Amino acid sequence: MNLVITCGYNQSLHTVALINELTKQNHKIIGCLIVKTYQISRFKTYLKKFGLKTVLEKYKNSVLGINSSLKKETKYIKTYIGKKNIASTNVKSICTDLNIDFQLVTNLNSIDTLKFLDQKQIDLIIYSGGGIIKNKLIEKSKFGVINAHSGELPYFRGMNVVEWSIISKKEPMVTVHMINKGIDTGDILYTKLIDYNENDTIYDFRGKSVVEEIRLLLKVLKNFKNFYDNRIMQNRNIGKQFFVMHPILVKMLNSNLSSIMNNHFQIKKQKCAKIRNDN
Amino acid sequence: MYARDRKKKLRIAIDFLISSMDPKGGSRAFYSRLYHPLKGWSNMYPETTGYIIPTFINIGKTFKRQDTIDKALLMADWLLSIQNKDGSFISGLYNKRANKKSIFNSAQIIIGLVNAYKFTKEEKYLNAAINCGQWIVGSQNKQNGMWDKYNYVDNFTPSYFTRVAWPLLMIWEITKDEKLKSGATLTLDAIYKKKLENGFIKDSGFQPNSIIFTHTIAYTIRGFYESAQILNDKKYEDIAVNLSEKFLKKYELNSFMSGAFTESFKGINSFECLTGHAQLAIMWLKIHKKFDDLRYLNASLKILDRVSLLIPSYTFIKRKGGVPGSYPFWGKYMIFRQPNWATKFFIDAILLENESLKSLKKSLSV
Repeated sequence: MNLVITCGYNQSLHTVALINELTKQNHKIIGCLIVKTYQISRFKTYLKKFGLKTVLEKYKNSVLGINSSLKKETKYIKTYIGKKNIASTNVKSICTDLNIDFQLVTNLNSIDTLKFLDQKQIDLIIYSGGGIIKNKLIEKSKFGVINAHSGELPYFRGMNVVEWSIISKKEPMVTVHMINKGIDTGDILYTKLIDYNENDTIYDFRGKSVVEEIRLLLKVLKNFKNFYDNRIMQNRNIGKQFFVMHPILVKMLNSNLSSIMNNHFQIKKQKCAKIRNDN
Repeated sequence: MYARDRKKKLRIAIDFLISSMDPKGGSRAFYSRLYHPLKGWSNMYPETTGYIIPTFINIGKTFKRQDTIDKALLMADWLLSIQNKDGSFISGLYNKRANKKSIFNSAQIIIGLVNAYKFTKEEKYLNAAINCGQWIVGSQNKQNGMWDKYNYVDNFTPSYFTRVAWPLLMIWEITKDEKLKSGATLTLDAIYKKKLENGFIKDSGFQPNSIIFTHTIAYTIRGFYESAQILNDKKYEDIAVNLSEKFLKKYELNSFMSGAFTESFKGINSFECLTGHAQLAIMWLKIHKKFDDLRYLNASLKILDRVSLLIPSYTFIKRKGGVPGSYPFWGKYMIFRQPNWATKFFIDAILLENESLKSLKKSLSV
């Protein structure tokens, strides 16, 4: 299969890991679209959506590589990259190393993007960030666009769904699905719980979900045709679209995480029961 | 940081609302050094004095403050003193010679009178509310559920008159006077029929075919919602919840709430109607409370951050603690003014927000 991969910014470590592992699995990546990191319009949107504090944290952590509170979250992808002996630290460099054609674009729906894709025979586009995509892009490949979403679909659509799952007292899951014109409403290919342990914070859950997304995409792509043929259409009447969680809710969630896990999470309960039985 | 800032803004907002009170007992409509360069304050405004009463009672109960309770009752007594013999109240700002009656303003005063009655159990407040309600229903066009006169614009009954039905139902809840209930449902049904295919409710603005401030959109939604709670009516509740959700999604997706909309949901982005922000937050918080849908609490926290941020912390041109009608200050809604009702809705919203956060904290720990 001829694959194209998207990416939200050049420093995206999960895209680096994904490209590396896909190549190892002998997938043919024929292109990569990298959305430019430094754009005033993008900065403004992020500022409005996440607030200055979060934007600065993201910038410090992802671009400058300085210690920040997000470090707790990114340690999982960094460990994964370390274990896989991946030397590249950004998407451009791994594309250059692996001889993958890449293009810097202002957004994934721009004319430049569509022109780049027009030159290629694409079977599948892998979404690894870059903002909302439109039909014109989806139609550029034979099977469409695949994505790993850090929430259980169709129940948790949209943003910060790891947090929204936990605050709703549901164990967080990752779903691999096809992208359609709605927000996380495309057909489902595979769903799996995120592994966690008793002492995890919300940053741990988020960090683990990123690695799980990579693993699940690799699993599905290894046998894509089978998963694709057995895909499940989402019932759009169930589930909700979630948005960026307000910091006060994140704080409340963090301080009540252990009681939520103790009282409501099945795996946790089973683990505790097992420990009790073992004793 | 968050809690400290909210507390501070709530405190200075309460101070602003208290300072809006005229010694006679009415709350002055707005503060503006442009409109009133010397004293800053306008004349008293019977309409909003009415619905500030429950805010002051709520502050009194929440923070155990007798001063705001006393002020609430002073307001209620002042309203009784200016009520017309036929039960109606005047439109616009108070002046002794004013004689133009208003359906909408009278209905908002009922909210205050019923709350004063519920708090004190003094019949004088209930009787005044009943007289007013009977005048409103007596003036209604029974053919279409609307009012031909005593409106802001002649022969135009805006859809935010759902907020006339709600106070009528508040009285009905106590007296079971079926005339008030049937008058209210006649209006609600007539406005319900104005629902457009896209979900918007036609004629929700001050005037026909005008842009529609989020202030009057939120009025319309709230009228349906509160009426639905009293009547236990799913149809009215659904229209209120669905519209609230549409505005929530618009806000979250754009990280911005336009100050006004057209009937095709097109936002007018040149200004923010901070009054409408606070009112939408109230709706979202009420929906969160009823349906336990945290997305509504989430959005209200964000929009109240925005209003909170724009409340002046010191007096210079604007008065400390007062929510400006619009941002920027020269925005289309209540230009260069800090209306008492914007601050009232902000306080109501923050008190609801506190309740919601407390109940969430409790539910997360079990």
